[in-house]
Amino acid sequence: MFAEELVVFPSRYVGHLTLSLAAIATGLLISIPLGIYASRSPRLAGPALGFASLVQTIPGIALLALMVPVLGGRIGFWPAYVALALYSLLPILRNTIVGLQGVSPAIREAALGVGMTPAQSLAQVQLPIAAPVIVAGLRTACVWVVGAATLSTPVGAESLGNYIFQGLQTRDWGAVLFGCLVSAGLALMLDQTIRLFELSAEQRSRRLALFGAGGLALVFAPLLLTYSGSRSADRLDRDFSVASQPLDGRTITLAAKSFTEQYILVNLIARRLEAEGVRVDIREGLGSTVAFDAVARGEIDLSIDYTGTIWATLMEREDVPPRAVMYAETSAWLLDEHGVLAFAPLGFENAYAYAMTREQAEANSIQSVGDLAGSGLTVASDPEFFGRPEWTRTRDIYGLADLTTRGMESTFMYDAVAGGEVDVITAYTTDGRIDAYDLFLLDEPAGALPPYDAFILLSPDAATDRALHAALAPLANAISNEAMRQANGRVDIERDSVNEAAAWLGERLSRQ
Amino acid sequence: MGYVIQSAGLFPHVTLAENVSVTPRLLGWDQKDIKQQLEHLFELIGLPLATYGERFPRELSGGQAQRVGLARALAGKPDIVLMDEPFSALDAMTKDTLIEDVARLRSELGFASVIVTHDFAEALRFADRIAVMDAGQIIQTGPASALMANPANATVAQLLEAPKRTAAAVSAAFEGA
Repeated sequence: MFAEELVVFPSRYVGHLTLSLAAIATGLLISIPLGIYASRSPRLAGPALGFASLVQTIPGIALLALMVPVLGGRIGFWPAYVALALYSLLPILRNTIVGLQGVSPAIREAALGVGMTPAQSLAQVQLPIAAPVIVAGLRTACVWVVGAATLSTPVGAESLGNYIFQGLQTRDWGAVLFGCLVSAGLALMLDQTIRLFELSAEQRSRRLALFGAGGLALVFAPLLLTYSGSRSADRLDRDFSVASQPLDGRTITLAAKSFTEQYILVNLIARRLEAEGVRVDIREGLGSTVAFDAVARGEIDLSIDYTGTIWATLMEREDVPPRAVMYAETSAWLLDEHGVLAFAPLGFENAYAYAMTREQAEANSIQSVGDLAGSGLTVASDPEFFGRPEWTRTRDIYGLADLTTRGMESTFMYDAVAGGEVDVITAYTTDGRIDAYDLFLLDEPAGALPPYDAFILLSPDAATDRALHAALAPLANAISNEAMRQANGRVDIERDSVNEAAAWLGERLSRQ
Repeated sequence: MGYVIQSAGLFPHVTLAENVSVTPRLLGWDQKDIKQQLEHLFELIGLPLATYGERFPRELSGGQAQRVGLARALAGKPDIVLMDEPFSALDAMTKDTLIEDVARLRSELGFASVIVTHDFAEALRFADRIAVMDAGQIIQTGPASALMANPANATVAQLLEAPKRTAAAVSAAFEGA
């Protein structure tokens, strides 16, 4: 498990380091000249500091997400870079202004008195005297930016945040901790390296400069791994090799939203494509709409989405048609509005279902949602569920107004119902914990809950790619709810890696 | 023109030698000439270059700092040195020796100096000609004796009274002893 995390380490580390250093360098290039100018012009200093402080008050993850629409829907390096560069402005700008204003008027007068031009005074006297304050700002910026760079995963930039986001979703706390520790270590190394260089300049010590260079070498050392490490060989098991030349050597980009099922499916598709000689680029941990927008723009070739999600969030429809109708309507809308092809349904549905423990269902002789009426039981779901039409419709159709509702984080619902703390939960139908806790899914004959068929979406370019279609064809309708639930359970409950779960699912498909 | 300011105004981030050599460097002197000038000036202000050259301004007393400020003003071999209240922040003893030092340096190096001061006694000890200023206007100019003999207005007369009273008090104290 740990070995698999190390295989992807170099590219995540490089992504993180490149992003952070580029952002900090940009912050320096903007903040120092601006700070010099603002230190003599209070009229500019106020608004400049105000703007930088305003940026700072925006939560990091929101700032990063906002950069996607600001940059016209672009994902990946650029939105993360712009947001982080903005983030680095405040500490450097503020400290440049404060540092320069702290140079006493007597010193400035003396600089002119000994015959310096204003530029010489700035370069030889004022900046060197303000340097310790400016460097302190730079160090703060380094720590902030390296930390905030972990948030660039949802906008599609690879970083150490991938460990954290994937770990949070698959409840792999080891991966979360690993991502945090490496990122914190990097922040501290950069901070201390700058400190050593500062001390060496102040004390004119070559020895300290050597230590600083050593620190810098350590920061860059993991880059060497990039050239020795490569993807693990077991990604290349060729159980589905279909002879098809055109895909060979091409790069195809896949999107994975930030939950277990998506990681597994994208890994499964990656295996198939890699078996065809494709170089696969996975953008994982993306926000839901970020992933869709990237596919619509053609920045990403393939994603997996759900009919109910497209229906509600993109088409903004509130009615609930039968499953087949929703599939047909969403497919037509995607093609008309965005040129995105709904290539094929995967065969399973990740919908909401009302679930109870088997004993509790039997004790209250409950078979379907209608039986809940008048039972006085407690139903739990994620907090927003009870405000959505899915719930109000269910409530009105089946007369469930007397049930007690409790909002809680979806991760905790399963334990709550298994422990008898609540009676009914809205489970996700592919969640592995349904089997693990032996939960019983209630019949819902009126169709109040919308269908969520999983389907493969292809970007406008990929939509006409025959070779890609051929490679993906075996996946159409191939994965049952039960198979997906078991694969999810392997990761969420049995603590297998995503890689192992995807391999298991792939094998199971090949035996069908 | 050299310039000595009130509180020395030495650059805190560089050594004393670098402080003093800044003007010659800006003027583009040879390294050798700069080195010679440094030796010379540090000797004149009574702080040996070997001991003090690599020290930083924060390690100096007020009087020492003002001496180095003086050396820095003289480093470019100016014809005129402007001194803006160079002795005002010093204690009486330090001030006394420093005034002697400046007078000595002036005769050794042969520069003209303009000194701004609020202390008339200082002006009397130091100056060949005195210009009395009030509210930004020069009221009277001339050698000390001319001012004493013929003050232009009440302000000048009053200004002269203070050192006279001090002198009288000092004399009385000595006679009493």
